[in-house]
This record gives sequence, structure tokens and C-alpha cells, in this order.
Amino acid sequence: MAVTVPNELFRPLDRRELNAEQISRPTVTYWRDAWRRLKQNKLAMAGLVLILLLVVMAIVGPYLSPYSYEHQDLLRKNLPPSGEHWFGTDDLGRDVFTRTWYGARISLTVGIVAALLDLIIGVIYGGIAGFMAGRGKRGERIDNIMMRIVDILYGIPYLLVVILLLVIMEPGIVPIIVALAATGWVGMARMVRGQILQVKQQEFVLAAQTLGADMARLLRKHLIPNVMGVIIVQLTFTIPQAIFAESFLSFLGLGVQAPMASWGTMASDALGVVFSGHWWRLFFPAFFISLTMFAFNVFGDGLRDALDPRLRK
Amino acid sequence: MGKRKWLASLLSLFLVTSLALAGCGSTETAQQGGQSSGGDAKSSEPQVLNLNIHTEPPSLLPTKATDSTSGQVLIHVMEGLTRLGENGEVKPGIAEKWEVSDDGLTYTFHLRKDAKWSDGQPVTAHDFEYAWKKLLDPNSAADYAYQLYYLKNGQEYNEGKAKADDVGVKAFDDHTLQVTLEKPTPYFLSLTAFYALFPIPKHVDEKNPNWHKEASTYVSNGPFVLAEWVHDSKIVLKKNPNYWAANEVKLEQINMAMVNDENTEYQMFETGQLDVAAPPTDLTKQLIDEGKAKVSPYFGTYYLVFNTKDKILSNAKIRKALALAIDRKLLVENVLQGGQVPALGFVPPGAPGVQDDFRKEQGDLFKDNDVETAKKLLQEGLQELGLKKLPPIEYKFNTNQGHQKIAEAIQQMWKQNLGIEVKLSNEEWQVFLDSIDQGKFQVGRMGWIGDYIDAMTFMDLFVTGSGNNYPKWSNKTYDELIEKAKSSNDQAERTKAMQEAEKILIDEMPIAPIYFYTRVYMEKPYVKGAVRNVIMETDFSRAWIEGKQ
Amino acid sequence: MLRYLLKRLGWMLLTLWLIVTLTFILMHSIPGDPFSQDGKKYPEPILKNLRAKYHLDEPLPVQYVLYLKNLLMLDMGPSIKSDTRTVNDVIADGFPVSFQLGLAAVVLALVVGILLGVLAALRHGSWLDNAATAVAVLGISVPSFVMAPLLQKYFGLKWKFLPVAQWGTFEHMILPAVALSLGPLAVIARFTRSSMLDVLGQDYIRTAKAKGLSQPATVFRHALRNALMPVITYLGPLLAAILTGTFVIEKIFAIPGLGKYFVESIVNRDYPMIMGTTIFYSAILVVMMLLVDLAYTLVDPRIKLASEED
Repeated sequence: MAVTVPNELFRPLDRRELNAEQISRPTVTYWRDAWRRLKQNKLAMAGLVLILLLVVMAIVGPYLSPYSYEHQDLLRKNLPPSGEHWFGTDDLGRDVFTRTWYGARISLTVGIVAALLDLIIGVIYGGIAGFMAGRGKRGERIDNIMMRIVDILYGIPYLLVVILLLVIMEPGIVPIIVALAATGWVGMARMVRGQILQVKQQEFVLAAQTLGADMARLLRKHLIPNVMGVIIVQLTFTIPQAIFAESFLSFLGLGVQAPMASWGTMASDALGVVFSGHWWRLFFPAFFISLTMFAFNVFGDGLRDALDPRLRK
Repeated sequence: MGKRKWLASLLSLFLVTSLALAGCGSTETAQQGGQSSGGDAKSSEPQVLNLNIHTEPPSLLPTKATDSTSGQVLIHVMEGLTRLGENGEVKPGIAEKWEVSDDGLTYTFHLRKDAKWSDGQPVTAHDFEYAWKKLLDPNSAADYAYQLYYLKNGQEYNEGKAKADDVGVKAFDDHTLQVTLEKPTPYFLSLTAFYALFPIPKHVDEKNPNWHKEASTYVSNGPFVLAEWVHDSKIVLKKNPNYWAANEVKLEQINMAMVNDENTEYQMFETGQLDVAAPPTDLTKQLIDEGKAKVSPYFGTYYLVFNTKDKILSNAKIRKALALAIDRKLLVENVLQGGQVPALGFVPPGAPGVQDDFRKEQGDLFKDNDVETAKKLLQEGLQELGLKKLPPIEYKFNTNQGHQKIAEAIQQMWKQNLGIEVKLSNEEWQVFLDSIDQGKFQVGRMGWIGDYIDAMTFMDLFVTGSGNNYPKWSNKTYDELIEKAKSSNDQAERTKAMQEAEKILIDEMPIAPIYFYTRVYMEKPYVKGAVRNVIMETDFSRAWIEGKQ
Repeated sequence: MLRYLLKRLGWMLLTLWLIVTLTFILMHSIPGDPFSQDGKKYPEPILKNLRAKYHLDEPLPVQYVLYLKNLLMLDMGPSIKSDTRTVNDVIADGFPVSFQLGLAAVVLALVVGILLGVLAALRHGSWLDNAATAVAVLGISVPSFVMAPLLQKYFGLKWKFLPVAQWGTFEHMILPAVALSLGPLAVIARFTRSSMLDVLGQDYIRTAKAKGLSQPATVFRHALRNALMPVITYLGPLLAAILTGTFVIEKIFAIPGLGKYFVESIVNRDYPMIMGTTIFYSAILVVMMLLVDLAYTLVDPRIKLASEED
């Protein structure tokens, strides 16, 4: 279907026209505009408040109860929630309330770090690959190499990588971040690439390109904003996935060491309660993971609407 | 379009939400009685037993089997020279009777003439000779070849230094097997009941070396035959009419499921799909208290290893202080909750002593939770080391919730009782083993399950230079005592030597015993006659079903 | 197009070779060996015989070349853990089971997920939209290892609608397929909703509406097709992972699939099994990735992956 235009019909661009694509309207920037619309979205703001609330509780929560996260009382184990232990006690007689908020620190940190990795590595990587695809022989090759690297990261058994990290690193939050950074962003990269492949075929992109915008500008101003919806959805999945990944990594010995807790490790430690009936041990960590994800979801939805270039007025 | 899909999505939405809520809300656990409620069509057939063997057995060739899953199948389809009874006593199997020479070096087994393979061929002494030499053959590379290092030239043959003909096992005729040992080994007789020493049908194996890989070609000499083997799914055993004691076998069929999730196993027991099961960890105490689960002893010890090459833990008083400052009773009753026994010695109950049980004769070698002495020893130890305060100690364990709970509890005990800071660190199993082996640890957890019913399987671990001597401990008197016990044919003499050695071990505490293992099981009341002893997999070959309706 | 496909085939082989090589190096650089499973160290002669049997006493480069040679003949070697089945046997036994279960779960996730996503987008901001969000949140944040025992407890143990576990009939497939599909279902619903909203705001949809197309026709003929891009992207690795089996679900429901071998082979350091499962999964993966790219061009013919100079 492509119409070939003979080369001689093209004329060199006049220098003065080079900035024609630049927007001259005084800046109610994209971002400021989005923020204005976001503020009007009540549900989204509720989500934001919830996120802030969780962060605040992660900071002060452990100090609200008289127990430490590690204090055991083997004779007072598996107690249901009461005035004394607000969230009950676990199978070693530790206070679940304290442990939940202590765990929030680790889980929220891991979730947010994973989201940042997604944004920084995933979006840029996917953006470049998607932009390059089909753009001449060189572009095709760059896209191919970048996406085959992603395939390799998918293909190598993650457990082997984790065990290797376990051998060469001291346990703690750093190796967790390294383990997440190794492959956590590939989903985002593929998602962004796929969407950009589609968006870049649209007229406004071709127009901007014809007017001389370079790759960085095209990505920043035209392509990424148009795939924001998908990026946000992917982010809202990254956060809970990272929270669970942390518990898996900690279980293998890479992450935080017992008796420290995170929501993920508390939830997976409490699996047996489905049958033993000590529901509070599973409920509270699982509830807060869900709540976090819910907050990020409604906030993300609002953000998506606010950022949608087509809804811009 | 429209309404119907709307409904479907609404329905699924409702389903998901209500499920998630329901799961968190209820405290009571569904408990069905012992009566069969599964409504399975097979329940009308009376003599069928449903077991769970958890996983696919890696090998049903006796010489290659090394794990309890394979063992559980093998002890039902095959039979060795002897069988073990309830108390670990040796009973005749394929061997009708036997004689042992006075020096304890020569065993002559007389095989019963009516023993047959499932294909009708007789079981002969040649089948045993063939199997045992195959076990030792370096080309078979059998893991458990060392179980026959007791044979004359056994180890030499396995190392390629001797010929097969030199090995001390000979079939005199079809029904007489003569075995010559390197050293007197009083427990050798009970070893012949172990699945690694089961016979192999020589006439089958020579024609088709792959006979043991599928049910259709499998030939066995035990109470049951392998009727069906669906990999990773199930095994079905049927009564073997050719078995010499077929009249003692009442079960017609044993179904072996391969369910490796403890909660699933429990539910299948509750719905009547399994007749025997292990209770899930979180319910174990409750089920024992209700009398639904039973506890049987197991020949194993859980212990902590102290790295004696470590600067601080090289001091015996510090090691002892740590060992004494653990409240084993509290740990067993409130953390483990599986009927385990606090270990105040190293050898678990079940091993023969001079007259009675080894452990009973020896008694407790130290006091549990002896905080006063521990504090005193810690002070003395610190003085010897020239330290004011003990620096933080690292406690290593391998990735496992059970080990983690024990570690967390001990961490708190040491902190409370001795004021010691303990850092826990867990590692993936093989990384952990490597760390312990390389001495990259201070305190680590370990467990040992006996290979045979004798205290020696525990006591020779800590001989200088032994591969499993993880504390890298060395004591001359200990080594001498063990050597003495190993070369003696007199049960009283060798037991006394080992009991003496155990006292040295506990006095020096390169390891701190924590508890003796148990096996907790649930069994439907209509299952009768299962044989459990401290070492073997449960033997259902003489079991029967009664009162199931 | 054919040239592009051939080129991609070359890339696929190169990718596979790199995965094989990296995995080989990785698995030999971590501590442990296949012969120390229960913490009892075997005497040295036993270990020597074992290493000799599996050629683990050869230098690593020799082992590597030997492995590649056998691989070219499609022989993935023995499983060190099992004396009964080779790696090829294990895959041949387990894959069909995992494939059936995975396919059922994916179909369920696709049908329900897309429907939920479309409805949520069409009723943007309504209670239905919020309910769909709630389902998605639960689907992701209540992981399958919690959902599966809950399903078992209620449908199997309490109400006795369905078997608790094991494999064989259609009934056996329902609970694990549902448990397995919830995560992907949530993801698909959210992506469909999001990109549906993007597409519905575009000019050509407005045009279609203006031309008098009824709503369902607009949605399905025009909007959904374009909104499927993220779902297609997501499906690539999902299919590769789910069709080769999942450890947790197969363990909980005692399903004789391939999933556990991905984990257990590494735990046991069963080297040939690690390589075999990795290669098998990776081969499916790279094919899926190609299919995803091809599906893009079907959904949106304007998309070009190959350079036009070809």
C-alpha cells in the first residue's frame, strides 16, 4: 500500500521551519494540566490519600503498639485479634499488628522500587525498541537485538540467577533490588514496545516526524504520553508482583532475614491457616497487599484519565 | 450479546469475591468423620488400601533406589533375606534360617524353596549374589553401594581395586547364600531387610535391563506385584499369588497416590480418598490432641552444629553454654508440636544397648534449659577467650519454614537466657550444605536419620575426618572408642564403648542435640495391622481392612 | 515477509543457543551437586563412580560440547534424579497434561477477562467499572497459592461439587484451571479496559458511531480489535509459561504436569533436567514471541516490523 514518492520531490528543510513543531502557546504544560484534572477526580485522590496513609503507618505503625516485631511469647501464640493484640498473634506469639506495619516498610519499599525500575528501564528500553522497529535495516536490527535480549532474560531460569546472587551477595534489601532489576522490567519493556509500534503509525506522529522531531522528543512528547494508559496498568501489576517476589526471594535467603517480616513473607508463612482457622495471620498481610494494590489502581485509573491526551481540554 | 454474558461475568465476579471473603472469615475446619464419604465406587470392594507416596519414585530397581518413596513401594513388591518387625527385630524373609560363625564374619543364609518371582521362576541365591555385586559394581554407580562396604572386598570392588569374584558373597547352590564380612558387624542381619539389599531377578535383568521401568515388565518377589504405574500420578499394587506367604496377605490391592501438598493430602484423607495420611503442619497439634493423629518414633536426631574451627566456638564452655540455654521442652511443645522428644543425648531411642535400649541405659546426659549452669559456663568461657562480651553469633539454616521457626525460637532463648545477639541467615539447601561443609558458619542446623538400627550409624559421624563431621571436631579418645566398637563382635563391649563415646561428645558439645524425630500419621480406624518401626517405611503387607462397610 | 520470517528463524536459533550457554554456565557456577540431596555425604568412591557415570568428571568445556552434540540429535540426556525416565521421557509425559490445563486456564482468562474489560470501559466510571477493578485487584493480590486451597476447601471438601485434587477427568480440571486463570484474567481485564478507553476516544470510532453503527458492532468490529494489542503482548510469555506448567498449582492439585521439574531440577541440581526444561520452555517462548509480532501486524496492518528496504 505504501506510496513511493520520488526523491526529487523532496526539498531540504528551511532552517527557520525546524522549530515549527515546537509549541509556542504559553505553557500550561501537559503535566500541570494533568495534575489539575487529577485533582478533580475524587476516587483517584482517595487512592492517593490511601497510599500516603499506608506510608505514614509504615513509618509510625510499629511504635503504636508496646510490642517489638520480634518479641515472642510462645505461651500466647495464635491468639485472635483483641484489645491487647489488635491484629492477634502469630504461631510464635508475636504481635501481628507490629509485624504488619514493620512489614509494610519492606513491602512498600520493594513495590515502589520495582515501579521505578519499570519506569526507568522498562519504558525507555521498550520505547527505543518500538521506535526503531521497521525503521530501516539498522532500526530493524536494533529492535531485534533488544527484543532478543528480552527473550534471553525470560528464558534463563530465574531461580538459578537468584541462587547465584545468594552466593555472591550479603542478604538484605540490596540483593532484592538487584534481583528485581535483573528481569523485573522486561514485561514493561515489551508492553511499551508493542503499544508504540501501533501509536507511531498514527498521523500526528508522522507529522511531528516530518517536522523534524528527533527520537527523544518524539518519545517524550508524542509516543509515551499516548501509551500512558498501558504503562499505568502495568505499574499497578508490578507493585503487588514485586511484593510477592520479595517473599519468594526472602524465603530463598536473599532478602530480609527472619525474624524480620514483610507482607509477602507473613502471607506465605500463614498458608496453613486456610485449614487451621487462624485467619488473622493471613488476612491482615493479604488485606494490606490488596489495599495497596487497590489504592494504586484507582489512583492509576485517575492518572490515566488525567494524562489521556485526547481528553485534554 | 448482552444479557447472558453480563450474567456470566457477574456470576464469576460474585464467586471470586465471596470466596475470598469466605476463606478469611471462618475459623472452624471442616471435619468429616472417619466413615467413608467419598462415595467412590471402589469402596464396595473390601480389601483395598489407599496410600499416598507423595512423589514419583525415582527408581524401583533395588540397587538404584535411595529414597523413602522408592523404599515405600519396594518393601511391598520385593522381599529381602529378612524383614523387620514392630520393634526392629529381624524376621525371616526369603531366607528361612541362617547361621553366623563365632567370629561374626561369616553368614550362611538358607533360602526357602517355595519363594518365587511373580513370573513363576524360583527366587535363588544367585539372584542375591547378582544384585549385591551389581550394587557394588563401579559401573552401576549406585549411591547405596556403601551399604555393602561391610562385605569382604566390597569397597575394593566398588573402587575398582578388586574383581567381582573377590567380593564376599557366594551362592553355594540355588538355596544357600554365603556372606563373608570385612569386620564383625552385628547389625548386618537387619541391613538385609533394607531395600538396597533386595534381590534382582537375574533371568529378567540379563535379557532386558529396562525391566524395572514400567509396570508391564516389572517382576517382583514380594507380597504384591506392580500392576500399574502412571508416572507422576499413581501406582497400583495387586496381591502377588506367587508370594511364598500369600496366605498371610489379606489386601487385594494398594493404590498409591502421588500427592505432594500436605493440605491436599489432608483433604483427600477427609474425603476418604486416602486411608493413611500425614497431618498438615498447622493442624498437627490439634489433630494429635483430638486423637485423630498418632505419633510414632523415628530414628533421627535434630541438632545444631557448632563450628569448632571458629575463634569463639572453639571454646567448649561457650558451646556448652549455648546448648544448655535452650528450652527443648518449650520448643517441642509449642513450636514443633509433633510429639517430638527433647534430645538430651545424641543417639535416639530405638537402638539396641547392652540389654535394653541404648538411650534408656544411657539416660539424659545433660539437663534441659539449665540456664544457671549456662550462664556460669559462658562467663568462664569468655574469660578463657579473654573477652568481656560475646560478639553476635550467626545461626544458619536452610530455607524451610520449620527450620526457621526453630531458629527464631532459639534466637529468642539465647537472647533472654544469656543476653547474646543472634543473627539468623537462611540459604537455599545446597548452598547451605556447601557453606556448612566449607566451614563458612558459626552455628548451623542439621539432622541425621539412621541408616540402620544401631547406635553406630550416629556415633561414627564425629570421628576425626568423617565426611559428615561438620563441626570439624576431633577427639582422640572418642576416635579410639569408636574404633574399638567397630572391631568388636561383643554387643556389651561395643555398646559400652559407644556409650562412653557419647558422654565425651556431650561433654565437648561440638553439636547440641535438640530433639528426636517422630512421624505423625493419621490412619482410618478400619485400617488394621500396619507395621511401623523406627527406621523402615510403614509396612502394610500384612494389613487388612475391617469395619469400613 | 518470507525473508523476514527466515531472518527471525536465525535470530531464534541464536537466542536459544545463548540461553543454553548462559544456563549451562550459570548452573555450574552455583554450589551443590546432584548427589547430596539429604545432607548425607557419600563416601568418596561412591561420588567418583557417580561423577564418572554422568561425565561430570570431565572438564566443563568437554561436558558442554558433549551436551550440544547430544542436543543436536534431540537427546537431552538422562535425568540424574530418576533412574526410570530420561529428560525426553519426562517432557513427553508431563507436557501434554500441563498443556491441557494451561490452555483451559488461558481460554477462561481470555473470555472472561476481555468481556470484563470491555464492559468496564463501556461503562467507564460506573459501579460495574469499579467492581471489575475489585475483581482485578483480588485476582492479582490473592495469589494462586492462597486461592487454590480455598477452592479445594469449599468446592471439594465442604460442598463436594468437585474432586479435591488429582488428574483424569474433566471435573479434575475445573478447580486448577480456575485457580490458574485468575491472575491472567485480572491482567487481561485491566489491559483491555485501559486500551479500550484509548481506542474509544479515537476519531475513527466516533466516525463509525456517526455513520450509525450500533454499539456492539462498533465495539467488536472496530474498537476491540485495536484494543487487543496489550493483551497480545501479554499473551506471548504467558502462554510459554502456563503451557509448560506451573509449579504451585500442579503441586497443590497433584497434577502430573511438567511444572515441578522446572523447580525441582534446580533444587536437586539435576543438570540435564535443568537444561532440558530450560530449552523446551525457551523454544516455546521464542516461537510465541514471533507469533506475537505477527499478530500485531494482523491486528493493525499499518505496523511494520521489517524494514521496507527488504
